[in-house]
Amino acid sequence: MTFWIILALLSLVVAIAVLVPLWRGKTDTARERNDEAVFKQQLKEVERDLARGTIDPSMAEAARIEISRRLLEAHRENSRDEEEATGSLPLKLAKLSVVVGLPLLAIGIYMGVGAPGYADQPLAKRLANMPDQTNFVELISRTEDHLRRNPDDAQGWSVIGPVYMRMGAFDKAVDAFERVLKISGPSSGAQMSLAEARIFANDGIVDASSVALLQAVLAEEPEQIKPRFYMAMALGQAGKKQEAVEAWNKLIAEGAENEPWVQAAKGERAALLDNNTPILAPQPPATSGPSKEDVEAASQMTKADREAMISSMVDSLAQRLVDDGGTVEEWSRLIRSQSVMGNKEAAVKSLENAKQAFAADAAALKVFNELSTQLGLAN
Amino acid sequence: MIVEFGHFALVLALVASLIQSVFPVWGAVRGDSRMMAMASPLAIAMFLLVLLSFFCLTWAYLTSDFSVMNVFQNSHTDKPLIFKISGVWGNHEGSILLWVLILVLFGALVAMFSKNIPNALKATALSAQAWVSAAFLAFVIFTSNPFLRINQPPLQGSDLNPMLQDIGLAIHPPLLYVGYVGFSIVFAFAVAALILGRIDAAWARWVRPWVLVSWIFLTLGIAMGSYWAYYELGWGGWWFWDPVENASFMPWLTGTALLHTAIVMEKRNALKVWTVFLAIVTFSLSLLGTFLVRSGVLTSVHAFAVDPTRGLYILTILMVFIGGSFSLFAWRAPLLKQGGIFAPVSREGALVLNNLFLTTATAIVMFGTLYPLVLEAATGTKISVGAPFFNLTFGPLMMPVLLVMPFGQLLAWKRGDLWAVTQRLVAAFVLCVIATIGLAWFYAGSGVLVIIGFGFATWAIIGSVFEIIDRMNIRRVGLAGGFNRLKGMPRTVWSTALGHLGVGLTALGIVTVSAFESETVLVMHPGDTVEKSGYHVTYDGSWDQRGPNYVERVARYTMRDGGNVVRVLEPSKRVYNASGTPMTETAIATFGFSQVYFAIGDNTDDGGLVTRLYMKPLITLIWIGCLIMSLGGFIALTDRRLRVGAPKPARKSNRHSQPAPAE
Repeated sequence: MTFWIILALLSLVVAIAVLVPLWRGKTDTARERNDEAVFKQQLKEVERDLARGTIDPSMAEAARIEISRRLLEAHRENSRDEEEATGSLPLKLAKLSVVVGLPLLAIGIYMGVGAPGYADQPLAKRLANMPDQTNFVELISRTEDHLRRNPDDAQGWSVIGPVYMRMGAFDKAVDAFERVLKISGPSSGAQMSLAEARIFANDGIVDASSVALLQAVLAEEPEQIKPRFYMAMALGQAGKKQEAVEAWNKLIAEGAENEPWVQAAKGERAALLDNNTPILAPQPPATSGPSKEDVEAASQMTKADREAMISSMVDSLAQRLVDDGGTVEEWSRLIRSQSVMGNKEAAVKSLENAKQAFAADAAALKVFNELSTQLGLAN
Repeated sequence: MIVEFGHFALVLALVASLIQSVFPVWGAVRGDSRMMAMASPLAIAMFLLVLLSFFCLTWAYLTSDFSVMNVFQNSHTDKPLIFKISGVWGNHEGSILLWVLILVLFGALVAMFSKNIPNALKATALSAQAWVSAAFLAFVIFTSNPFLRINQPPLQGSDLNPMLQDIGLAIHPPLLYVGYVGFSIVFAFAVAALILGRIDAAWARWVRPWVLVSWIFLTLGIAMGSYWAYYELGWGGWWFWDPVENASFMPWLTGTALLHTAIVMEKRNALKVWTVFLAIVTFSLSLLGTFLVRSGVLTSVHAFAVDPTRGLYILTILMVFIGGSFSLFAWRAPLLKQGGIFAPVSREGALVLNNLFLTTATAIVMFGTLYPLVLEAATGTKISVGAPFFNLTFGPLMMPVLLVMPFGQLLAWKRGDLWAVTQRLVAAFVLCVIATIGLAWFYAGSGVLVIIGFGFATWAIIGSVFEIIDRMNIRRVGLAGGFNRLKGMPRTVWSTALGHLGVGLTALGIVTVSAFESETVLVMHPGDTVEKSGYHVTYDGSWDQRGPNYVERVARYTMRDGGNVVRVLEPSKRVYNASGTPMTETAIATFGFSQVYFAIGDNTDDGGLVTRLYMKPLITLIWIGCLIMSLGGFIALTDRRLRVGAPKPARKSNRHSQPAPAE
């Protein structure tokens, strides 16, 4: 209500300001054309200038004559105008437009384009007002705020890193894990996380720095699956087909059939054995891993292939989620991937599917809505 | 609900401008003083409403209210305060809102400070200005609304284009807009004069301050934009003949012409129709500039709004206003009485000559700007008209302008004595030759074009101050008498001298930097030293550091002159967190009027750094000249004395006691 009262007051103030001259009596100085006054003013100025000596008498005289001539002309014209009859219809129209047209039209247009009564949403207030609500994004935002003030909080960075990974913000995850390593020194856990984040940020390419990290992890824990998995990938990408296949074989032999990574490993092995798969990079020197240039060249060469691979992965995820259902995170990842790959239609469709699947879950719907705004899918 | 109040205030301003568009001019035509009296309160109300709405939007930026679409798209919580504020107009919607704000500000200024303008003229002019305001308010509200809200506000914004996160952006658009939009008032007065069918010398007097203010700000805005491009884009160029630059340059050229004809009109009651024409052309070019920049028909650093609907809307506004005002001109201009006559050799004649060159120059710039667009639209062929075209056409056109300027200053009104003036300028010519030889020797330049360039520039510089020296006439009245005369000189003499001096200095800067700038691009390793224009530049090393919303690699260079350290420079390369966009931050060492310009590129694998060094001799004169021009304009603005267009009684011309023109 207050909102509308203020709107009305605002209109009222404008209307009154305009109406004052309209309501004034008509008899005042008949025609305030003002130009006669201007010429009179000019005459005075000539006198002043003459007195100060800035113009000489002959020029002042000439100016005086000229101005007087104009003054007379203006006077003649004004007295002629005065005789014209003035009807009152336009005046009434003017009043009407101010009293009725102004507020009605303004409110009408505003109702059309505005969001009446929608309160402000300053960020500080929003963050302060919902400390208990376990809104994922809110929490991240608050943690980021905290880390901005305390950039040396290794604990904080190691908490937010995996969150970034899950959100698909791999670059931020890389940054977070780098900080953890820098602040609290090398540990195989942090090294593993950083390597993984880098690989994800590079669209699955295991670059030299990641290989170094993986090797460091393996030096500590030679039997761990994850680093070996990525090392096998690195070998494959470096074109060391034979060694890669051996590595995969060894890994697959160790894992149980139903473990998800075994499936992935089998897929990788199959892709390597498939003759159509291009060798990703020329054989690097035997003494070291692939150099940065090699990896870069490889990523240039096979961009199309890589994209095809990613899109087939996304498609199979979409199929699985539609058929078997999935978690909120999985749906979000799917929608995000589709949107990032530029397939907006598919992303919108997945969004609809996701909303349907979680129609009863308010928290999940909120996450999806936020995601859709973030990705610009809402319109 | 502050945001929504702002939105409503904007809508209310639109409705007020519609009322303003109709009734005051109707009253003026009917002779109804009460309807005319609506104009002032409406103009002030419109200004206050748009101001309120602008503050509300700024508030949303300051509080990072991401429920406002515009804030979400262009702000970020990490952004420093000043860029949160400048972000308000660093985007399409906000900048149009600023445009409108300045538009209504000028309306309100006319309403408040034009006590002695005839009411009919004032009411009609304010109505005419309200047409423009209404068109642009509707444009903001219906196609570029900065107040649109998001139902589920995100928690972080997308950040402002890093290129625009610079103090230059905070200042450049407002200055430029004051210039652009200020001419709307001049336009409104011209339209009012046409509608009322009356125009006289007094009209020029009322319009003069608005022309001057607009011209000063446009000058500063263009200079600022040029300097911003120079140090922010990292290419070392200060003027690119970019269509967006041309868009602001064209109204400046015609505005300069207008400035000069307005003087003739005020003093001699001549060139009235031409002045009105120029007023319309200048504002039309401002609109054209707005169209070019805002519609997205151009792709350049400024084209941060690409939306065909908006483009079409502005094109419609453009056609309605330009077409309408020229039709009005064609219909009504014959009614305007012709004024005084003058001989070809006279100050009026010189000013007409200046006008001819300036308008031809405008036509050339316009051709070079629009031809590629038209060609592409018609045939699909993409061509680009760049510096070579403009250097070949625009440059030669400016030379006679520089040549004639000192003559114009010394010629008498109505009929002048060219021979006498030439004789008086002999001393200036001698000085000019000496200065040219000196400059050519100093810079070891011997090209014909360089000598010509130096010659014209020094001629303009010396000629501009020559009038003052000539008027002091120390030889006849002695030093003390000369200083007495100096004190008694009208301000218009100073403003003319400074204006022309500024042109000369800018020209000198342009000639010198074009002829003698040098560029060195090399890979430097820490500890490397390179010799650049007599300085030894050592690359000390580089390191990474964090800014509020970016990370940057800073490189440090030490400049030594003979063994003494003269400057330490730290250019950098930034990557902005939110957008990931890289930006080059240059470092500039100024020595006198010359500058050494540092920009860094990528790191090489062996630890080297791509370094670009430019030597820019006398480059600051380009902008100092603009500042001095503006100062001249400002002094002219303070001179509120009367210029009566009264005919001077004919007198025998006496060479030695050439009468001071009736200022």
